Amino acid sequence: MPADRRNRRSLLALLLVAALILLTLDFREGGQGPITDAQQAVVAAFAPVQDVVAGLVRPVTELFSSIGELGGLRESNAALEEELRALREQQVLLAQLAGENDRLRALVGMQERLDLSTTSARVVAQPPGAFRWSVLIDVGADHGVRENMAVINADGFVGKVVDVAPGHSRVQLVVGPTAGYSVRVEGTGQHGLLSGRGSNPMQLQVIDDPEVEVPAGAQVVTRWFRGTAIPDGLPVGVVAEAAPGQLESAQFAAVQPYVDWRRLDLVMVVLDAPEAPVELPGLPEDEVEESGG
Amino acid sequence: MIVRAGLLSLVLVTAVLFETVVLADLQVLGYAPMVVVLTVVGVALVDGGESGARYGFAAGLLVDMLGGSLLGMNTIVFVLVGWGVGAIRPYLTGPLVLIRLMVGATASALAVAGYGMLTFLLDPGALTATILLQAVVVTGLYSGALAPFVAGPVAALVQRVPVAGAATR
Repeated sequence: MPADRRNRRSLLALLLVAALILLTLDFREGGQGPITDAQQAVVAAFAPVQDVVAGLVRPVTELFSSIGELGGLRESNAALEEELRALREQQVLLAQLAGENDRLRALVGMQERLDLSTTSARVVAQPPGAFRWSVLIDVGADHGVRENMAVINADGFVGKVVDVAPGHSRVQLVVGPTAGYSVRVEGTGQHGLLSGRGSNPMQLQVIDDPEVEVPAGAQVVTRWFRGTAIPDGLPVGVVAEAAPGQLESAQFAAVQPYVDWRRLDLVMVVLDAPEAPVELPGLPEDEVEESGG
Repeated sequence: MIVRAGLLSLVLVTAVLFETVVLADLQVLGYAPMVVVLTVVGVALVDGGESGARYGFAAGLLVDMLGGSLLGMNTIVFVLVGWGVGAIRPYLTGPLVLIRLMVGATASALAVAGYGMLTFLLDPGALTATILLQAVVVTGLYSGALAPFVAGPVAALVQRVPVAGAATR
């Protein structure tokens, strides 16, 4: 018995040491190397299977997720009736917006409004594990996708590409805690850093003009800077709680994302985007144009 | 031996597909159950800690490969889950359904907590304590609810191809 117990403990130690060695090697690789290549190969091998299974089970899972929403229908119905009454008063604008709300047309509308070159993709799977802050999409290097490209859907900014295989890519969602993006508050023009908080509202840290109040309801959009592949002006979310201006200290605000993470299906990868004009505060318009934007 | 390895491989691949594709749209508060962990529980409850740890190693490795996390993180956690469940197996009494539910919920919660602890060590800014606590509670409860439906069939399958000389439940 003692020898038997020793053998079992030896096995446990061996497995744990092997796992620690793999962990150390992958950590030191820093995202490039044979281990990363092996991971990408496994993803590339698994992805077509996930694709097929997703196509088979989608009708069933959509049925079950709809059943889960029945409880909130009465409340949403009352809210929608109130919204409809208010929207009827703006009938002309609604007629234009209603067309854009069609799922596929809204994707094209987003693309046209922001003058983006995109390729459409479908979310195939999410990673195993408790933390679902990335998704697998069915386009990859063969479709022109590269790392750090922005991903959007009809509602707004979804995230950025972090891993690319020939036919599939992994997208880091903007709500993931490891995600941080340079953003701008529309209206006040304040710049900030937006961090994901999982299923909780995102956190906006205002970098400039912290004494200026960030109003609730203000739209937050992506802010381009040299070196990033994320275009300027992609809608990210809306400020949920106003953050009063504070001098000489960090100002934070909660931001509710536009994208519904429970219903990620069709997305677009931004293959190329126009560079945002260089911001030269205080210069007359013609001097800004001459600087080459 | 080969039949057992093939069967466990099939179980693992099915569990991964179920967790990544089928349950992707059936999340609660942004979290889904740890179906792969429940299969580790199923194997360990039948065959003990040694088999649980070996299967946990393979399962964790596959999850790390597909999830994009550092290779070895889930591997370590799943090995410990498999070993731990096997270690407490002799002390578990009561209805099998209840055992699988409680062990499945606890194992999933501990797996998430373990992964979170490793994340805090290797990438301190990647998680907050609030998010980890949410994940532990929600995932534990959700996984516990599914445990009898996952660990049960896995245990039944594994019992058909026992490890030679192992005492099974």
